[in-house]
Amino acid sequence: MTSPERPNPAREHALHRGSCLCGTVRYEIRGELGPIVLCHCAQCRKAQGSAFAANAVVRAQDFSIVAGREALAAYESSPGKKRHFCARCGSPIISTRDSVPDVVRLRIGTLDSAVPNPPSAHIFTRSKAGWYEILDALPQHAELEPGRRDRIG
Amino acid sequence: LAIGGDPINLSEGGSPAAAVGDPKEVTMISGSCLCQAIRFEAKQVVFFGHCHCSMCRKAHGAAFATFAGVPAEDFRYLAGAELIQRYESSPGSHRAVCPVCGANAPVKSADNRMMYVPAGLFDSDPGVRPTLHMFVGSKAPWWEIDDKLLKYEEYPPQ
Repeated sequence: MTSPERPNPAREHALHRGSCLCGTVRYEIRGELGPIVLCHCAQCRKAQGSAFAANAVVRAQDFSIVAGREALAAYESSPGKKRHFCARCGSPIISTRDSVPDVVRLRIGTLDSAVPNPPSAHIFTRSKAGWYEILDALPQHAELEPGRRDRIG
Repeated sequence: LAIGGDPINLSEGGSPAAAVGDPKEVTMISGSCLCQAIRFEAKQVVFFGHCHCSMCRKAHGAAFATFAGVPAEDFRYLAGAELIQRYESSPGSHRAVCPVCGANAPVKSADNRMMYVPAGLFDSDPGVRPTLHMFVGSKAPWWEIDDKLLKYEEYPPQ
């Protein structure tokens, strides 16, 4: 098991790059991406307009905005929780939670680099859109996945 | 889905799954962005499809986008229409965003005949279900399509 708190030799070499649709906001991740979870909560669906979000935990210290920081806007969707997006094109980039400052949750669809692992689970399936049917074999959790430490949705 | 081309209406001549009920039986479908600044209602959905193009994936930050097509005369804003910010993602093609919460917002086709609603905005069940995947040629390599819906490399045929 790889703990996000412990250094892992492999993660020191990982470099992921991503950007918003208009290319104004660019970011780099020097480290591992956590498991991709597909979040069906109503907030994620509304924030993006999609059937579900595809998010992965990234250590905040590994994540850096390399261009367009001034274009990043944030919406506080619940107390202490902010969803950060490009104010020009609207691409959602990350969410953060004040109570868990050491991680950000990346919106995987904005990655330009290859995604290293397939999605791991569906979460908040109790809030799933009625018009979307889950047909894959991934684990489904009614709310958060078990063992989640950051509680950022 | 790059909005700006001809409207795509699968309610005519599409598969049985694309059929939409008698409009008289359809109650109004409501929708809103995350912050509720933009609210709308729609009478019927005549197109419902998943788009896997790279621009939709970027704009939504997601595995794919899902758009519901509503004839313009069957769509009405209840709030926030004046707030909507438009971004020209390719020449003549626009995307719409709520500047407050960043949600993708409904966008009108270039010929003004259709409103394309990001389906995640629906508050009530639109009553119909997605019928197709488009731009599967640009699909995210990490996403597998597991359903049996129609698949098109790019836009579905008219």
